[in-house]
Amino acid sequence: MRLEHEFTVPVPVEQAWHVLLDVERVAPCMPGATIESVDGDTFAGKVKVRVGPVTVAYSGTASFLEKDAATRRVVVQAKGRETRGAGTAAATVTAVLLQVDDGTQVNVETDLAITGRPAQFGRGVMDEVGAKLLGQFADCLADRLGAGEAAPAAGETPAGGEMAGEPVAAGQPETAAGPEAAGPAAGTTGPASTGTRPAEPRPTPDTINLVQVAGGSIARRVVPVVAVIAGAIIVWAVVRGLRG
Amino acid sequence: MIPAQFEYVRAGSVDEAVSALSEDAKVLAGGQSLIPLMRLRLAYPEVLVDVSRVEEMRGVREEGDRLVIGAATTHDEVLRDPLVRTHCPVIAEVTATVADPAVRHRGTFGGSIAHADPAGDLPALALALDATMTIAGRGGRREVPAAEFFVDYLQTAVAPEEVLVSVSLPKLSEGWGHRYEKFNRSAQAWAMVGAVAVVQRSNGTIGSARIGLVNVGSTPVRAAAVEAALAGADATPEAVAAAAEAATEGLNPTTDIHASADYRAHLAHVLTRRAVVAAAGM
Amino acid sequence: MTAVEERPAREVGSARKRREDAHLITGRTQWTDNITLPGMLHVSVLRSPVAHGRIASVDVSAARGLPGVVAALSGADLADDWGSLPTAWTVSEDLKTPPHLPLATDKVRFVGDGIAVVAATSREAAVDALEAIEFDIEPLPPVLDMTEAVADGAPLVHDDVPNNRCFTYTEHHGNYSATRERAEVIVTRRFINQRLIPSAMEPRSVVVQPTGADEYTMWTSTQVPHFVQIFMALVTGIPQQNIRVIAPDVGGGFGSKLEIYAEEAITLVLAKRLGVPIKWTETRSEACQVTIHGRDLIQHAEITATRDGTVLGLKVDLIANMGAYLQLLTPSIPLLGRYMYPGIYKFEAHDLSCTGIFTNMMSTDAYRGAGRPEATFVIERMMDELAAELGMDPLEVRRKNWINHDEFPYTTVAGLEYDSGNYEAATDRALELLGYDALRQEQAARRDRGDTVQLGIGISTYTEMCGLAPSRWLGETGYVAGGWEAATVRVLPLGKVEVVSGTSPHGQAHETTFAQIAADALGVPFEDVVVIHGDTRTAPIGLDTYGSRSLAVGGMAIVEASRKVVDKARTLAAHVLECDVSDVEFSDGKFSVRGSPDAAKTIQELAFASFTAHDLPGGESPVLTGEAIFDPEVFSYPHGTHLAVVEVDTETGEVKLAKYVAVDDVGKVINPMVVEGQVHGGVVQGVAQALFEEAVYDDDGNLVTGSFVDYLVPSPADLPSITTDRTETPATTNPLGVKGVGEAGTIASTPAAVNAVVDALRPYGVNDVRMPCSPMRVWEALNQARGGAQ
Repeated sequence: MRLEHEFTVPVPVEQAWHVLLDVERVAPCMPGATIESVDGDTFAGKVKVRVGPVTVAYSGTASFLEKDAATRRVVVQAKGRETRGAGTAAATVTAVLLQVDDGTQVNVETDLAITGRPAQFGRGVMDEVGAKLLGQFADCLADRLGAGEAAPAAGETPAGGEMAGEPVAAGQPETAAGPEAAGPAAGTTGPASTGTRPAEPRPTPDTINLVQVAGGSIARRVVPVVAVIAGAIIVWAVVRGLRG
Repeated sequence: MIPAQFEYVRAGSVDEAVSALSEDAKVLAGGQSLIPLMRLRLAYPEVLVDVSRVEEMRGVREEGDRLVIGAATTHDEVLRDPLVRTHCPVIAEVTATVADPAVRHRGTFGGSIAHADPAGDLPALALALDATMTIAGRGGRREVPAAEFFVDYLQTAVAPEEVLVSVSLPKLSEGWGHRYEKFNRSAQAWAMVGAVAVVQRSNGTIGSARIGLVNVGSTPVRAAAVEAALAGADATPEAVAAAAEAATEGLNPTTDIHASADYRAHLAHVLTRRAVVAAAGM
Repeated sequence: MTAVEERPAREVGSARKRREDAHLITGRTQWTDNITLPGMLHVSVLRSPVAHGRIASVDVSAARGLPGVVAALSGADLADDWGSLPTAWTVSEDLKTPPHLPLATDKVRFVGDGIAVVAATSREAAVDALEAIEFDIEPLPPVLDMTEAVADGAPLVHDDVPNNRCFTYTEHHGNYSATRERAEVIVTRRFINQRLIPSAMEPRSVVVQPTGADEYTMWTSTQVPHFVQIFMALVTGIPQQNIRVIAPDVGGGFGSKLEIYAEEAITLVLAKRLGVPIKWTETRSEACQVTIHGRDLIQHAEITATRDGTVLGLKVDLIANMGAYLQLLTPSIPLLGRYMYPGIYKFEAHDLSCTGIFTNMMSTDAYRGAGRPEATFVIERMMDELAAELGMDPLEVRRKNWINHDEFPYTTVAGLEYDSGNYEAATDRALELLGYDALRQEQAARRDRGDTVQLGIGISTYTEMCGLAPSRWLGETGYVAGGWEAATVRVLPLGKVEVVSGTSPHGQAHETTFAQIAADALGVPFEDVVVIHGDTRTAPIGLDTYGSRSLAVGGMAIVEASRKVVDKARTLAAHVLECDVSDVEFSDGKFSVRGSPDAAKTIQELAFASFTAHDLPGGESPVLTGEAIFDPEVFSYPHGTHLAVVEVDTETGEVKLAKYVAVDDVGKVINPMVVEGQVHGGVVQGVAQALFEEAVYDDDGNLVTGSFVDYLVPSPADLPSITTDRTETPATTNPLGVKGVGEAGTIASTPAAVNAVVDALRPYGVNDVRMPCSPMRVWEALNQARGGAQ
């Protein structure tokens, strides 16, 4: 199943690009996720989403498959298995940033595959939930960008082509030393390398009105937008299928 | 299938229910939506708080110009209740379409509303009638109007430590007609789309219309644009048809294996028109 | 015991209440899942969530330590305990039968493919433990679309089956291309005969009890206990005589329990390994997912005719979805209809081709009618389409082409010899019951005034080849077994009767109708006859129930066995009455000397005399018993005419079945009430395919109709009263004159209902609606016909 979403954040594309690659910064905008470990470009964590009586929880990993500064394109792959069942969720998310008049347009294409019990009981209405979650994510991100400090590397525009099309293998630290290295390189962002910035505060789950996020005991809430969306979509779909 | 393990608490009063509730608990009334989810292990609450025997939450009573229905009153009790049939028969009409007799003997009025499935029949009715929900929590009780109750898909104003106690609905006087147009693929299935209309007609015009739509979005919705267009309109099929064109204004109907968004929108138009025409006695 | 009891009116033909019902409706049934044995463990199966993938690892160790868990085993752990599950019909030389282990070891091939099992002290503990099993499946692109599956470069369900092509098959009768050249009208259509979930009321269940050294008793909810015994021996290597299989009360099957299932092997093998009783019971979600599915064909049809409505030929090209593996009869199902495409009609040429294709879905197999509904659907839809093309009444086209009653026996273009039938009589009766002419007028009136709700009248005739037997024919077509049926009839010492049948029911009325047959044949009261079945120990010889064969084959075996009993009793009577055997007359249970009616012995008296063996004629053995095996030479051919009336709301697309008339000719009727019940159930199942049911997989291969919320089995609230009647043209090919009725209702009802929907919409330019004719599909068809405008 493919989902497409689009939103705009009111910051220049360069700034958005850096933030998008910065898991520490982006992660707190993701409802329901907790990160457990970081290994280079791969993050292991859990996503737990509740909608009404339904709970779907996954544990799994997300990794950057590709970060292309020239085309402002990021590909993230997330895979998870239900913590209480045999089902899986796998998503490949491609995000592309475009400079527009009032900021940066973010186009997100999600290729989502859900298996197991959640998938067996009817679908439907996924676009809507996905759009809502992504909408919340965008709002949160926009807030942060608007309120937070300017991206350190905003002034250094990389020359097109230098980084073009260079894929980053999953699980390997990014080794390219392009202009981006001047800022906090996203590829090396991990718990150990975040000293240059204060940690972001935890968001309050209560502010999320669609999905009531289960409180996690781990301080940092992180990772894949996709998995969260997938989780919520599954829940939505499942409940719609189950009105016995 | 087999549910995961859970604890079971039978509450004898609203206070007992509230004190047993927590983030990981769920209220059990008739269990007609919750138990299937648990059997499929899509829901695994640690505690079930059974309110089906809480006296205060059962039965229908009059309070001035309103009827108050205890949240744990079964559908079957509601649809046979003399007060309901006398003062607000649309409730009986809609309730009679809920699933099948077996479900109606277990499932409850409040359970259906608190589950807030947009495909449920009763949430849209509660919305159309401007019901008021009484919710009890540790800090006491509060009243929430239907317009603020249905927050999102399966999400209501009821917090995890709260319980829906009762629903208050207006009595409808003589001049009101009603019709529920439920469209489903088989008799026991959930509505693909539904339209419940309550219409006040006088002297060849429509005084007021309240329309609730089932299963055209993530919550039950009011067809506000149609209501506005109908207010004071001629009570003719043509005028109603014109007004019903606005049924899905501002909505984003959903797609599933039984109906595409386009088809749902089409049904919303047709069913709204039919419901209003019938409710207005045309 | 010597009193001659008054025999009631002839049993055969009387509407006896079903003997089975008293215990079925008062909760005294013995479903397999009701069986609880001391020390019994419960099994749950971990199923692949992925439609297609390579198994990288399955780690059951975490499950082993959980409370109540006795064993947790992966497919690899059990790979040496069993062989491949069987396929019994080699339909073509090029048939590919890839291995099908009860638990997958290398690849998973559909959502639901078993990969590991847990045995625990409770079902809850077993299900809990599944969550602890770690596994890694590397997903592969799933094969879900039959037309894409055969393309070069498509992913392969089985690595060694190129293009996912399971088999190809062709038949040519007459010169079809010549008819094409002569034809004045050629109509082509493409039909999708959708995938269905059989939805028996009782989900499957298996209990296995170890009873000795490598000896086991298996209770299983099956139509085919004898097949299960044979194939369990072959699959597990346990000697056949050490496996006793019992089919206790079985709550429906419709073909889905004509099967050898993985879970039967799993339960048996675990009982062997663990030495304790084991139970597995299917959940309803599993019943949707891993019990065989039915139908799933794409049918290209072309009919050639002359302007006057004479059909010249029919060409049918099928592609049939096998699913991921071949189950017991999977490849044969689309071909079981191969001779039925000509239906009841006379024409000169018929071409048929069929390609079976593997996909990453649950296997298909026999579902009520098994090939014949699919064939009837095509010919009966095409007759309507031809009529529309010619501007003729659909009845007129049928009349013009069907075999007249005075033309029997008639050999069809497909080579079957129909022994008997009267299509005119059945059709006339149906039209009369429906009020056909008045409804056509009503239809015209609604069309004229542009009524929102339009009326449609659908016609379908049918015939089917019933009584799946002739062993010779089965052998010639590549079937692994025969088709005979066995019976033993025993008159007990006290004059009561035991009938042992090799076919056991799953909701029919064997215990009633077989007793009726034996009561008449032996001249004993119905109440004195008990029917024994469904246990390989007590009814060891048999070939079970499917293909509307129980009466036409199994019933005939009872007639034959009863005849042997009577012959034996006659010899004894002659001895006792001191006369020549040829002078003994038998009537109403009494043997008398011709011309001396007072000199008589009842069959009960003779049974006791035989039992004592005090004075038997030379060479005669004691005990009044007869055994027989019946293997018919030919099929039987029930037929009928069904009429459906629908109201179609052209605004919403809603289809309401308003009226239904079924006139069936099933030959001689043993019990009219049972026949009526079979027709009612069959009609509802056929209408369900036309209007309600469809198994849907999503693009990832998940079955999204995984519960009855989305898989819509209609209830009585969705259907009108069904009017049934019969004409009775006895079969000439068996002494009872019976033809079989188990599948009859399902066969004509699907095309009748779809023809009605299309008939209602024909003025709008609609000439087909894909099944099920859901409101949205009708609405879309109308939109499309109106040129896309909404």
